[in-house]
Amino acid sequence: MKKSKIFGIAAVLTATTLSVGVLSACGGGGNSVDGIRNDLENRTDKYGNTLVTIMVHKDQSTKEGKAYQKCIDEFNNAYKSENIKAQISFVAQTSGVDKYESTISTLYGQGNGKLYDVIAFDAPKCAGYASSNMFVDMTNLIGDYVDEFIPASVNMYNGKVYGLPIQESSAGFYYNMKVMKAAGISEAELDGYKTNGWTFDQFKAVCGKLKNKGKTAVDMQLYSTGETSTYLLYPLGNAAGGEYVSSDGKTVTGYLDSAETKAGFQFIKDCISSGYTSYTVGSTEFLTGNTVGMYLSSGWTIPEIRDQYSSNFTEGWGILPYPHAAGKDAVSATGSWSFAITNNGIGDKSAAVKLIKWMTSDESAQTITAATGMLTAKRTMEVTYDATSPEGVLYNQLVNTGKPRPSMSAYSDFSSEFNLILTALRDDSVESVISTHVTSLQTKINRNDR
Amino acid sequence: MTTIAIIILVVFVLVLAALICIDIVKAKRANVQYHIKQCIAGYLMMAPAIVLAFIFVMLPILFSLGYAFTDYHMYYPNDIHFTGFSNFTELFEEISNKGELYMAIKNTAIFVVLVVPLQIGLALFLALFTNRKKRGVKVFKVCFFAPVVISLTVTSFLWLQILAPNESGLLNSFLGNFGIGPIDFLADRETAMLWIVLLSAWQGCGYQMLIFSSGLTNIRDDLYEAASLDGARGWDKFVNITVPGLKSTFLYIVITVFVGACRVMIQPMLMTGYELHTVTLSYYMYQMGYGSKLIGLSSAVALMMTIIIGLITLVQRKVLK
Repeated sequence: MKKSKIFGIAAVLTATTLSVGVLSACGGGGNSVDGIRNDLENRTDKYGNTLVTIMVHKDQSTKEGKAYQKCIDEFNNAYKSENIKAQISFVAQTSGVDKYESTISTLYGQGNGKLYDVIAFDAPKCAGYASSNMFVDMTNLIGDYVDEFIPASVNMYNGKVYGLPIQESSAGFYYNMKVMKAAGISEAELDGYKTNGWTFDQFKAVCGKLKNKGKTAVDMQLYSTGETSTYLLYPLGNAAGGEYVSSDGKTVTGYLDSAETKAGFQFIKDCISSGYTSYTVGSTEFLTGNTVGMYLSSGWTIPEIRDQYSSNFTEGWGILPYPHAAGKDAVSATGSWSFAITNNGIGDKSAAVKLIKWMTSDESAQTITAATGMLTAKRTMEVTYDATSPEGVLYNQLVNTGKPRPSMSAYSDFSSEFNLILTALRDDSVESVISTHVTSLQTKINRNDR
Repeated sequence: MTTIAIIILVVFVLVLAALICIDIVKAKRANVQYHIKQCIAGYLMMAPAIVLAFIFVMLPILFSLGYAFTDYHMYYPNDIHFTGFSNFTELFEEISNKGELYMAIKNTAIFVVLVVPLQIGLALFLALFTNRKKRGVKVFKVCFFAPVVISLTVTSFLWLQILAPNESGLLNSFLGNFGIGPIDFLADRETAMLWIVLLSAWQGCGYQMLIFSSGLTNIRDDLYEAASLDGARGWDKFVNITVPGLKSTFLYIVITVFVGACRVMIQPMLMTGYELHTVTLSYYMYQMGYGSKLIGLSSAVALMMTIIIGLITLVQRKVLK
């Protein structure tokens, strides 16, 4: 055989193999599940089982990932006789360009059953997904089952149920008893605030005492960026009687710039200008030293203190609820991850409903919250926290004063603007900061409106 | 995706056919015998690279160009409409209202104006320093190059530790000895960008130092010797021999550093987060796409950015030639 002929054949083979490989990879779509036929009515495997798929936001090797896997294994055992089989995929949520969210969007765009039947999602994103028709309205599909959850935890959009919480979280003001005592604040006084609530003025009075003793009164995590700041501080605007956005999530003018909402921001500004809090507190200063009196954080700090920093809290510690303006209702932070059923092109949602009910059952909630250390979102689960214990304060807040973050399609824009407002409060007045950001947030909401 | 795969295949076959036709015409004009089989073999050898380049380079560019004229929203992937120039109108409105895009352009311009001369000047200085024939110079060369091989994320976190706004920060801890601080360097609207410039120049100059070094080795020693015999001093030799000798290297470095500076994103993202005093064009584009989910508008920013960078690069080439 001539040299050039061999050369030519080799070239053709190489080119064909690589080209076909690349093109077939493109045509294959995203994370499809082996052996699935895209029937559009339902999915079955080669053994005739009805397949229902679920995607979660954690890696399989994490405690939480293992808890989800356990729940799925139990589901498969329980529904073996009905020939229903669940398959779980783990797509770990990352910061920056979030693979988890882009996976959802890409698979949804492909239709034809590519998107998982049930997906986990962060509660504030519910409105965005629901308004784009990515989520199924579950109101009729689950019926009374929704009553098993703490009302503030259920993911509602336009009065309909679109998501059920996996677990819950709340935040509060952690305190170090040693520092409090040094400032002349008694345990009885703090217990009073825990059970009866406290006003902005009472909060400032405690801060004043701490400051007089040379302490940083409170670390409000103003240095945090992204969702953490929004999650921790949004209740203060509501606790002053304000709202951030209209109930349809489309208007901020008249809400974000209302006198009540501005009073909430003014409370934060007062704490900054009085020197009670600052942007420069070290993020672990409260946990490792005795220089900070209070620390605004979520429930995840409870295991941190118990497991890593207990030696810094020799005289005890606790959590105080969110303060509120005099004459206004207290409001606290809520919202964790939830499950939703997707509009993925599969017509029969009965298996998905069974799966979502299983994953949010009391038994599954017990398994998952044991792994994450978060609070349960189920009212039906027996809770035996002492009212003044850290978990008790957070749980009671959740049940009695919990209020979700604003329900709006442009939630990520709200969160981003909220952060910009917090940063701007360092140098500018509440009035000027809010008037600037009302306009820019309204523009962003209008861009998202379809 | 199946449609896209078919389009790619069709485009690929058409491009291949066009290239073969061009070759045949060229061969005929030059009176050269055309061996069609060998040519096809050659093109098929190139095929994998062409396909990959088309899929991973050309296609994203073409998609982005197309999306710039649509209302593509990440949550509505099946509901995309052609909107003409409305995205661009909106962007220009935002600029005229001095909104976030205006700040992004302003910050990017400040960054470019400061970092390009600083980074190139630093790189040239280091190249001249390490190009001397003295013992131990190579050690310095490795040290100066080290930040280049460290990821931007790591160097950004390193600088965050140095600039931390409390006593745990290296700089504040040092200043504390003199009773100063603690200062929140990155929160200061006037100075935050300067720190980002400093970090970027420090991190990037090692790479340009290497290129300058290779440029310096191409300048003949006898030119310097002849200049010395004529009584030229160090500065004279630098201006009259080194600078002209590095002209083409200099042009390449100016363009690459400029383009890189226009795309700055990681440093402000990690060091300050999305703040109006440090947001850059790339960061704004990223936030628009992944934060606000507005892929159409984000693509319009990308297109606008490409046009601006392209035009300035052309001007640079004209001026520096």
